[in-house]
This record gives sequence, structure tokens and C-alpha cells, in this order.
Amino acid sequence: MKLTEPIRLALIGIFALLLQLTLMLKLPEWRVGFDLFLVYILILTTTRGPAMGGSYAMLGGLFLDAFSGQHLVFHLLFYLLPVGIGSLVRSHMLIEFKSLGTLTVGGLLLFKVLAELASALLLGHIDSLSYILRVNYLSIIIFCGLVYVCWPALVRLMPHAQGAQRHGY
Amino acid sequence: MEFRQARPHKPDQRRQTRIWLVRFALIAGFIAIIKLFTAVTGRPNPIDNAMMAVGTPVVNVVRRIGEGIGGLVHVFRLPSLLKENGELQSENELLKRQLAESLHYQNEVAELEKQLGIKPARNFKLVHASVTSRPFDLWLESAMVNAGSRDGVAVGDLVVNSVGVVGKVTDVRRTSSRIQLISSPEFRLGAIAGAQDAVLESRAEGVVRGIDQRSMELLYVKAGTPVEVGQKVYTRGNLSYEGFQNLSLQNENRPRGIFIGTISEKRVEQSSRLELVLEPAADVNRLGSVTIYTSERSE
Repeated sequence: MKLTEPIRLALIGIFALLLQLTLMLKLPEWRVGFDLFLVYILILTTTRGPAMGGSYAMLGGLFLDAFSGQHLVFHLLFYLLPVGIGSLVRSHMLIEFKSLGTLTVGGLLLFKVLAELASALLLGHIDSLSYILRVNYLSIIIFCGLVYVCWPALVRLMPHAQGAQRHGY
Repeated sequence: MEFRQARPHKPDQRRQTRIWLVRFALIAGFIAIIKLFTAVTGRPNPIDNAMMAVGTPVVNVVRRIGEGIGGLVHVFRLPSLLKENGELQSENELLKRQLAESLHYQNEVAELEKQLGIKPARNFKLVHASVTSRPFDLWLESAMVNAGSRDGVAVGDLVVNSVGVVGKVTDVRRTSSRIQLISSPEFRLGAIAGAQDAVLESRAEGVVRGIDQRSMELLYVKAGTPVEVGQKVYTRGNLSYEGFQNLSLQNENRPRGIFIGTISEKRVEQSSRLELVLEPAADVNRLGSVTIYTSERSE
């Protein structure tokens, strides 16, 4: 059975989203470092444009915020960042540049850590910026390594966009 | 096979991208305002409710599929499970008998205390609470619960769950409290270790310190104290009596004999003190509801 492009994209998105929700609820110490949905949104926006990427990002962000109970609109706003970056680099980068993709993901994850720390400071959950030293950076490094290795496979997983130039290698 | 994205040369494509980004930013801003308004006013959030209504069945289906696949593995463990079940049944019978005996001794102690005129220690009131949030990046250090000074909770109260000690209260507000978890390196609690058949008073006393989620340390135990790996460690308790004037301990009334963990490693330090590593009984990653031992204060 051959799945049509929108269904295939939606299934991949739902899988990434549910995996992220499971991580957030069951393994919270890995929730910052591992973010498969972020990678999905970045690739989706780069290959399909901001309209589709943004729609998935907003729905996914709302979904995660509704189930977390504490984040309010954090995921909704955070997942718009890969949409913005993906839209900007779309016209300047080749999607097969796995180093660039990994650096973008790593940068976004570090931003996520800083944003959560800032919100925790504002809400009074922590009282010192020194907690940034205690963040488990190992998960971010491991995830970036995985993204670097799997980037071509992840890009291939997405259905080909209409009008895209194909380059075999 | 990979593909290269077509480079959009036309300026109207860039304009289109900008328009989409602005649209999403506006929608996100609008949703953020609605959610902030409902959060501040305490009204039900229609967006979250809709997302939960749509998402919950999907999440449940996926969870059940996962549990079903995980459950299939247990078929291969059937013989060992049957054996384990038999052992647990006999252990259950033994525990029932020991419980009946301890209740008998408890009544006897109460009777003797009454005859000798010993004032009983303050009673403890149990306050049940749910963990409402785990502060970011302090996952292994603290948790917030939905019981506070309104429920009689005070700083220093002991927090337990069905397995053992979870932590102690470090900050109290009217309707919520902050718990310092046993996995926090700042955590300290008086403890007693020793053979199960030893008299409580003759066991080794020390201070339990948190290391991480899987280990704790029992400090200040003298070398040569008869404690072995596998023995259980309980709270020492600070039982203050009516009229007790020591202000430093007044707010630290804790029950005695609550299970903390099991000794997993024994080392002798150079300062002729024992260094004991404990495996905590409670799993701080799985805190749903907890019980707080608050002392019944005579106002």
C-alpha cells in the first residue's frame, strides 16, 4: 500500500510528537536534550516551506503544552523557531548539509535550556543562574551526534517535495 | 538519493515566507494571551481542553499498544513468576503474623507507659498530598506538593510514600510546600541502622545524606559498629514532648522507625568511621502522591 504524501508526513509527525510526549512524561531528565519533533519541524519547513512547517509546529506545540500542564505556551513559541530558521535557510542551504543541520539543532536545544532556565528563574523555581552548570549537557551532545549520523536518513524519510531538484550521490 | 531544494529566486516567494511567519507569530501571540488570561484568572482553558479531548484517546491507544507489546515478554517469564508468586505468598503469611505480634507489643508498651506515668510523644497527623510540579533542572532535588500551612504542614516535616522516606519539607506556603528530596546532596536526616532483631536503641546511629537518585550515604557511624550490607536503615526521629522548649528542634518533629533504605556497601574510612552507602527505598522519579507526617501541635 502506497501512502500519499500528506498522510505519510502526518504519520511521521504524530510518531515524533508522541515520542516527545513520552520522553517529557516518562523520562523528564532527557526532555531537553532529545527533541525529535524539533528535527522533524526543521526538515519539514526546509523542504516544504513555512506554511506546512508552521502548521505542524503550532499543533504540536499546543499538544505538548496541553499535556505538560506547566509549560503554558512554551512549546508553542519554541517550535516556531525552527520554522523561522528553516524558512530563512531554505533559500541558502542545501538540505544534505548534515553539519549545518546538526549545528542548528544543537543551537536550538541550547536555546531551549536557556529559555527554560530563564522561565524557572522568573517563576521562582530556582534562585541562581549557577544551575545552568548542573544541566545534563550529555543528552544534548548524544542527540546532536545522533542527528549528525542520521541526518541523511531523516531527510530521505520525508516524501520528496514537488519541484525540488534531486541530486543523487 | 537526496534532493536539493530549489532556490527561490523570486522576491514574491520571500515575501510569501515573511507573510506566513508573521501570520504564525500573530496566531501564537493570540493563543498566548488567551492562555495567560485563563491561567491568571483560574478559568478553564478551552484550547488545552480541546487538545486534551483530541489527544487523550490517541495517547491511550499508543500507551496500551506499548503495554501490550511489553506484556508479551512476560510469557517467557511465566515459570519464574509462578515461583516468585509462591515465595511472596509465604512471605505475606509471615508478615501478617509479625504485624499481629507488633500490634500486641505496641499495646503492651502503651499500657506500661501508662502505668509508669511516661508522657507519650506527640502524635503525628498524616496529611496526604499530590506532587504538583517538579522545578526545572532540580528534578532530583525538590518537588512541590499541594498541601501547606493550611493543612498543618511545617518546615522539617517528614515526607514518605508507600515505600519509604521521600524527603522533608523545606518551604511552606499556605496551600503548597516544597519538599527537599532524598536524592538532594543537601538532604540530611537522622537515621538508625542495624540488625533487624536488635533492640532499636542499641543500633548504630548516624546521619543520612543524599548523593543521587540511586544512592545515599550514612555518615558518622563509628568503625566496628555491627552493621552489615543488606541491613535496613530507619529514621531516628526527633520526638519532642509537650513542653519541649528547644527552639532549634521545635519544628523538626519526625516519627521514628520509618524505612529509608538498605545498606548496599560498607567501607572503613581512615578517621576510624564507617562509610555506609545506602540504596534508597523510594524512587524519586516516581512521585505521584505522598504523605506528610505533621506533628499535632498544642496551640
